[in-house]
Amino acid sequence: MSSAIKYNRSLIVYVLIASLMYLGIYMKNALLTFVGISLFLVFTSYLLTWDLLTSLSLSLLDINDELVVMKDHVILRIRAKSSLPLKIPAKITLICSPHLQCSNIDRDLIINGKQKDLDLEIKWFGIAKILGIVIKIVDPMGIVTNATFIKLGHDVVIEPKENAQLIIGKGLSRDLGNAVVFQSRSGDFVTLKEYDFSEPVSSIHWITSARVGNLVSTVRSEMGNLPKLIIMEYTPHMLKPANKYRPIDEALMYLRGLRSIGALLILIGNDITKVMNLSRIASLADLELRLRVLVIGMEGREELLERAKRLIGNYVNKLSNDDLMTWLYPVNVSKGLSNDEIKVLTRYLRKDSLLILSKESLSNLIRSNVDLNGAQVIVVGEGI
Amino acid sequence: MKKNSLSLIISATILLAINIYVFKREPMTMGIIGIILLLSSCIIVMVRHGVSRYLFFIDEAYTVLALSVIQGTIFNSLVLAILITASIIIYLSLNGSFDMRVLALSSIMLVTSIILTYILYSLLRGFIIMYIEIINANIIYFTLVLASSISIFILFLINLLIKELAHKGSS
Repeated sequence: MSSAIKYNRSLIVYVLIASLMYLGIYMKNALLTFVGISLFLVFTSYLLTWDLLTSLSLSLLDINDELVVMKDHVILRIRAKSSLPLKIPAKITLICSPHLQCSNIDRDLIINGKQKDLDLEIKWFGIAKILGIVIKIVDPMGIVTNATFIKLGHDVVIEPKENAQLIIGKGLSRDLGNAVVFQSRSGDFVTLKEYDFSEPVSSIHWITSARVGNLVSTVRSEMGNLPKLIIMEYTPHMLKPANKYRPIDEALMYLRGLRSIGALLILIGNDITKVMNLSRIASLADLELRLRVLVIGMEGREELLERAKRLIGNYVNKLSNDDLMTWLYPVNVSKGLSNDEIKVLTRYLRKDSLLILSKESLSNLIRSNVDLNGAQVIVVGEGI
Repeated sequence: MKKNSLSLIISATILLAINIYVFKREPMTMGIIGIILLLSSCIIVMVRHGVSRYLFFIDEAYTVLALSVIQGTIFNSLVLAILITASIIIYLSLNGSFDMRVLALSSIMLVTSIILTYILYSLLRGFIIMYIEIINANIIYFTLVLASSISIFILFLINLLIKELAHKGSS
């Protein structure tokens, strides 16, 4: 009942006013007629003025915005100025890609008021799009609503975390805690130390021991080899959110850690194979965007328009195809490595290569009897 | 003093004045009931402020009902109608349901609508007589309602035009 009243306020007000007027005519009562007419004129004049002022204010609106990218947050500073010198409280809805937490922000903004800082939490890595804001003005009674969409079109580059630590061991590795990227190769000489009798005799460095007259042993690196070739799955599966991060986020964190070693990166998926030098990639976030655009291109344009319409209504007409592709997130395409792509992968696979792929694709590799012996495999998408 | 209490005090005072006017007319009981209703509402609001909105509209509706029963001149009816409207507007604006600045600016549109209503009333009155006699309704009241509706419709069209021009000018 209360919701019915809430959503039909204008109807209720005008039905009451009309009833008073027509009761007055029917009963030939001057007072009822006059009360009805005066209420009708006052209410409608007020609502028309509100509608006119807010419409003018929105059409003369000028948005000054500034973007500050911090470690885990993005701060969007907005100031709404209108040529109409009236301070009008409004509600804002930020339209952005799901890389940023845009839904749980404080939505109050005063037109011609103070600057508003919107603190957006970074959720995923890649290139996030802050498409624009919908500014909505509702009168205090909730009868007249005016809204407009202002396109901001910010591209926020969110590179993977710098402090991402990872283990690259032989076999399967998923743990990211308490480790660093190892700098030495297996068996590399590290230092000499006094021999401990619990160590194998083969570790004794006889020449130095003879020279110093004491048993001295060599300390060698026990770590695995650093890969010279990284093969990464580049399919829609990598974009499927799992827990906090998507597989691509984890993969980008690994790539960030391995960037300095100058390995060759091979991206396999979506019927393409791309070879690039990891250390020469200017932005790892760009890899995410390219994959996303590739995958969203598989969805039909009509379908995308329909989805965008559900989110921002008819303002979708103000958007270009490029805006749609970079703002909307692919949800309908889900596929991993195909048999042909597995064949390509097998061709590149070497003993010192590192494989970054999703759990589903690993299962496919195992089913296809791909020899993973000697290769380092990182399964992404199981949550960090 | 809180705006809520202030709005109630002013609006209730106007209603009390109207009910005292009703009390001096026949039938007296309507006025007595109205005054008792208002005073008891004040006591209830002091104990439970949350019901003030409902009680105010009940009192308002009762006052309109009481006034519709008593006989009065057209001038008196006009003054009372303005008082009733004023009490509602004061209550709503002080309560925050109406924006005071917009309400003040809307007076321009209100005055325009009243002038338009008067002009349309003068124009329509003579024309409408023959049609109204058929349905046996009051010509003055009917023409007034019609004129006010048309005047608001004209203002609505002007509103749309200004909005459209502003929109084109900005884009």
